Amino acid sequence: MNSPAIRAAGERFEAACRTGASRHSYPLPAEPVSGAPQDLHAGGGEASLYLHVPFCSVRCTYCFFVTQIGHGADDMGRYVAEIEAELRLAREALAGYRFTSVYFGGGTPGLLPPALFRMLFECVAPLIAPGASITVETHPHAADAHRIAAWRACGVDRVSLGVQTTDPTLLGLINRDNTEPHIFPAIARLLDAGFEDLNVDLLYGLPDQSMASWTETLGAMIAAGVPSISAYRTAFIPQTRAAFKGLGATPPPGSVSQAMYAQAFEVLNDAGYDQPRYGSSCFSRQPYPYGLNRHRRHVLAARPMIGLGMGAYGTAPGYTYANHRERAAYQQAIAAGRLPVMVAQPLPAAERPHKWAVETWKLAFLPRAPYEAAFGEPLEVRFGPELAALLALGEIVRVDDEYRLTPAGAQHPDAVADLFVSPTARSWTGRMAQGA
Amino acid sequence: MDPTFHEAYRRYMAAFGVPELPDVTAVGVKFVRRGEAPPPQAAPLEMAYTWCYAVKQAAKGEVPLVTRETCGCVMAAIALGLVAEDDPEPLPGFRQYSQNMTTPPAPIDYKEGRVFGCAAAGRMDLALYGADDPGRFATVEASRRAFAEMPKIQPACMDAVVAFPPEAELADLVPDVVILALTPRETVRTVQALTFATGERFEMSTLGVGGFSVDLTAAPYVNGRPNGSFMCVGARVIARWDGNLNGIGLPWRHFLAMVEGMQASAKGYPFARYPA
Repeated sequence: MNSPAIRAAGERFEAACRTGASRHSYPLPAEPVSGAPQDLHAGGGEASLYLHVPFCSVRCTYCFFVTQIGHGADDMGRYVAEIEAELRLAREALAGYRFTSVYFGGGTPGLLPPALFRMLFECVAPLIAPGASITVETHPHAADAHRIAAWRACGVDRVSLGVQTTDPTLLGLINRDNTEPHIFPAIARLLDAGFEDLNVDLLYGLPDQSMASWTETLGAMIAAGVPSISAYRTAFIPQTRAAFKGLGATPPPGSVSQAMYAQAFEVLNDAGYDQPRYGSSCFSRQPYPYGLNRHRRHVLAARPMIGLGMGAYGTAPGYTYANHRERAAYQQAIAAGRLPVMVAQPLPAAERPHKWAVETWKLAFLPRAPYEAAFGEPLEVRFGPELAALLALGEIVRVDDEYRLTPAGAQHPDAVADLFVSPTARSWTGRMAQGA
Repeated sequence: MDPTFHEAYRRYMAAFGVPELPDVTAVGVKFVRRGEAPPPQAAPLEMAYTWCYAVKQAAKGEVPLVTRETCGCVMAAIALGLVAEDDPEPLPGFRQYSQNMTTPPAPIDYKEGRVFGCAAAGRMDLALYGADDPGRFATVEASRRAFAEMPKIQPACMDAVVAFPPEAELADLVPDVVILALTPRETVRTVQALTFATGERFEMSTLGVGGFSVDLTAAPYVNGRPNGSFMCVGARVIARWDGNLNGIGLPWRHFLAMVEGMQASAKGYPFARYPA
């Protein structure tokens, strides 16, 4: 900590820890540009595509994403037509991309009836590069034989199944209508259908969740032969806090959540879900580079991510943007022949390395090679003082060609990420709406 | 280990602290998803019940299994996830609620505002109360909006819905939702118990339509929160729920939390002194 720059970085980090920095997304100028340019998405090369399908059968207590509850097949059909219209509006700007990762997220895109899923898929099919990875998020109830066959026929190679927990009491608490007996048949059907890249989402740090319950859920997933597991810490933000509060359910102490993560890290690594990076939510038996599926590897490579659908957000070469979160506003824009963009911000080139670092820290590490490939300089040229300060404080460690969080750093990953926000952006107060 | 519905109900009633049982009806609701086996205790119906009537019969000790074929109210069949909201075919067979209509309504007629807005839509064949019936809402747009904003289980994914009483021999049935029918006097005590632990306001969203199916069953199920209702015309006229009763629907976890609140706050709220 000898140099003033390193010392200043260390002080900034300590301050962020004290104030409980919450770094969900990169800051933006407070004032969005007025009106989205029609070529908002313009760019080219390898990229990922995100399609938001908001429909769900029930509202889960922990969820803060953009969802629509209680809509039937005809409304889903209208939504597919709206996305198709959005695609037509963006067609020229998207023509130069090669989408090697396509992600149907939600909501519950798995709820789409097979015919509607095929229609949605056919809208984007011309944009998809050969051999692309295609992911569908689903709920166990929706993973029936008809839908699975439709996903397979469309070339879906990865399914992400929302399980969250196998504890019936907790399933009731979070208002999941997938009772335990539905989870395992769904996993079996997906594995039998040949989804070698099946992921299961789990939640830890739920109110009233015991270590025994968490360990049992992990064990059940291992025993079921699930190839990949994403272990997410329950987010207590105003929307979810209010939903839990009605049950008198309060967030567990941070140390409880941290102990649950530590348990997952140990149990899953012991079971062959190779993840050496402490703090990462991704555990997989798949031989992924960096232990990350292709969608997440696009983040590492700083590639554009084009988001379509209500509530989706994206990063094109020139802009970061978020689509309308309200269906009516989304529909009105489409009907008027405008891109359904709620907020769009030009992203200066100088900010892109900083945004990359903030977003990549969410994966619990910073790899040097992808940074250098994307930005043409070693990571230390731009972030030398920050990295040195965190190394000196024991928050990160260098392993081979990457920096990783230590268990200490994993206790406050947002403060670590916050350190990499540029001095310019630090004064910005705008934020992309949380949602997609 | 959670108490059974029977045991939780017993504690709830005891916590009122009065010698005679309060005028509270509690009925458990269990959804049967497509492909699932219904609980063996549930009895298929020989004729259609409206959902509000099925709940009332459950309060008397029956365990009715209400399906697409035997749900007497089309709106309830939509709200409970038994039929698709955009089904263009009228549901076959006898349906108490729509017998007064000269044309049997299809689910899509509700969605498109033709049933609740029959007069404005020029569809008096869908009127419930004869030639002068203005419909439930003044315009087709209001009817569509009312339908669109009703909590409901869609896409339809249920084979059946079971209503059952809090009896000891049904202890292995864990409700998804608990429906309470109670007087204002008991309602205030129950809301006090529900909010005792958290101070969280009890919010009620109701429309005078779909009281049991939408307000008291689908709403707590899909939103994961309690809801209240003053019931609806079907509940009052067909199922004959007493005029002094209103309803609260609670997800099972909230019911258990409310019972804990009843017990914990019993000595602070002198229910026995609330005027009957």
